[in-house]
Amino acid sequence: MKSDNSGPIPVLPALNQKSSGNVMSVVSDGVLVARCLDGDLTAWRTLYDRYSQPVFRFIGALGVPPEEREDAAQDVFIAVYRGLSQFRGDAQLSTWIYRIAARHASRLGRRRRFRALLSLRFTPEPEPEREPDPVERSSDLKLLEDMLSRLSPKKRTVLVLFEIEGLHVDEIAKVVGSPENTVWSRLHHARAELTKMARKVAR
Amino acid sequence: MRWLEDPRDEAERFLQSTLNEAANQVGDEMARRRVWASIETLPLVPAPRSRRRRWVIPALTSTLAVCGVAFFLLLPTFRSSRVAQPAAPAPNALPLPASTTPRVALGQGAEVELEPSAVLGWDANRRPSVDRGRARFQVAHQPPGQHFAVAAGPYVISVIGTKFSVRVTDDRVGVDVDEGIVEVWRGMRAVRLVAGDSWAGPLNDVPPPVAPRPSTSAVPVSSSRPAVFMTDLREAQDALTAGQPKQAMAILKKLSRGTGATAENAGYELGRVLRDYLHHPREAVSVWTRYRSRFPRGLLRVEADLSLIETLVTLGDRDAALAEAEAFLARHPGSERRGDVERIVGRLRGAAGR
Repeated sequence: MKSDNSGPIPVLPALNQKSSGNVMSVVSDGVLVARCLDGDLTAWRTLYDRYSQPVFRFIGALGVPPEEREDAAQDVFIAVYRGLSQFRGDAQLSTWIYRIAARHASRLGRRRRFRALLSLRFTPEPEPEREPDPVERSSDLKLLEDMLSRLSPKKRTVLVLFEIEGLHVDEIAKVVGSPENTVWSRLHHARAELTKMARKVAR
Repeated sequence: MRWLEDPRDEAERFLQSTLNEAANQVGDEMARRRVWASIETLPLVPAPRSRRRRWVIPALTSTLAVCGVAFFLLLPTFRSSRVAQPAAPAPNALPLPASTTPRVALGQGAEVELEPSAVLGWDANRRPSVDRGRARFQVAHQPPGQHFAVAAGPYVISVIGTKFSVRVTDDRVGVDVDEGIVEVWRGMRAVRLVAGDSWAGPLNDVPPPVAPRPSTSAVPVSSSRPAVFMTDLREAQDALTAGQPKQAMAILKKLSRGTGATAENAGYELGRVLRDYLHHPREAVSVWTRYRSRFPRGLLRVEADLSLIETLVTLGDRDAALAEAEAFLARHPGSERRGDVERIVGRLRGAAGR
């Protein structure tokens, strides 16, 4: 065991912090799926532990507001469970879960925009008070969130998957259901727009 | 070169650091636990069939229906004498003559005893369905990972092995549990009943199941076991958000006296509130120790162990922290946090001069 005895004793980082990629690698996703389908609650728990944090982070980065995030994540995992029997293993389980989460976030986004449009058109009510985000966010993160919200949903999804979730372009292509060239193109434009916005803010 | 690998100006440096920060966001643990508590029992409901084969059942049903109709249409031509045909039963229903209490075997080691005028059918998922009247079920213990489900109006009653009754009137569904544990599901919400509990819910309107009332029947009443829902945990979170940790403590204490996932969550959260909001880390250590003895294989066991190590380190109780950390490594060899705990063990041993 590596032992570095200098410096203060480290306090554990927050639970389920994004690790270096080898998260509970003893059980493969395929085995987990099979066990879940057999009604194994432990396997279901393991699957949830493995993917709940990425799902929460991903839908948050796609613009699902804090007060809707919990319900959205619940819906994503219900959809995951319901679809497990159809999961053929052609793509990675993570890719498949991201696809479900992306669709759900996109649906919620459309619903939000539609509601906003209706309220503007018919009932000009004051903006409802937002629930405080339980995860403390720095002002930089808020600024980034604001910039991301100005990207088109397609560009935003690709950028978030690549730059925040760390997926490869071929996986992103499967998540968004577009050719890899299209993903590269959206990524290029999203980066350019984001840089432009950041430069404008920096001025 | 990768984008932002070598930032050229302030704007690119900002994007580089904030994107990294966003990628390392940890998220709200309590929200994740609440979501888990709402989906943890999904595997108790059979996974739906593959979409690719969904056509098989409608196709078979249609074929059988066509054959049945053809049979009844052609029957008179094959029979010389006319015999009065019994009235056709309602679709998917098994009406029973009055003044009988027959027992029907349902497979999976389950039997049902129907009161006069009770109607048992099958729902779209081929589950037995109590459509009217009272039906008393006796279900043999199911193999691991399996359960037996009965539908009644908008509810699904899920059991592993038990005796219980389902009654359906014009406007209500009721469940009485004689033995074992029964879960009554409506959509994604459920109430868990134990022997002696009775529960009733509306047949047609929207409200989900509510906590059971003690039975008024001759069956002995259980010791007022609370049936609680995750909304109660949300109340505790709301109290914390409103800056009222003592109120949150009161809610969590009450919830922790119950059973199931809610009690477990509450038992763990008590420690977190004590440590992080009320700044009583020693009491938090006691709470988590109690949690572990109550739920030795609990879903939050790893979190409780880690919280204990973390708090003991913060308190400067190095010997206890080292013992906990070493026990953690032995207890959870495959944990994703193994690396972190190993580092702590290394430093604690170094500090102790071992």
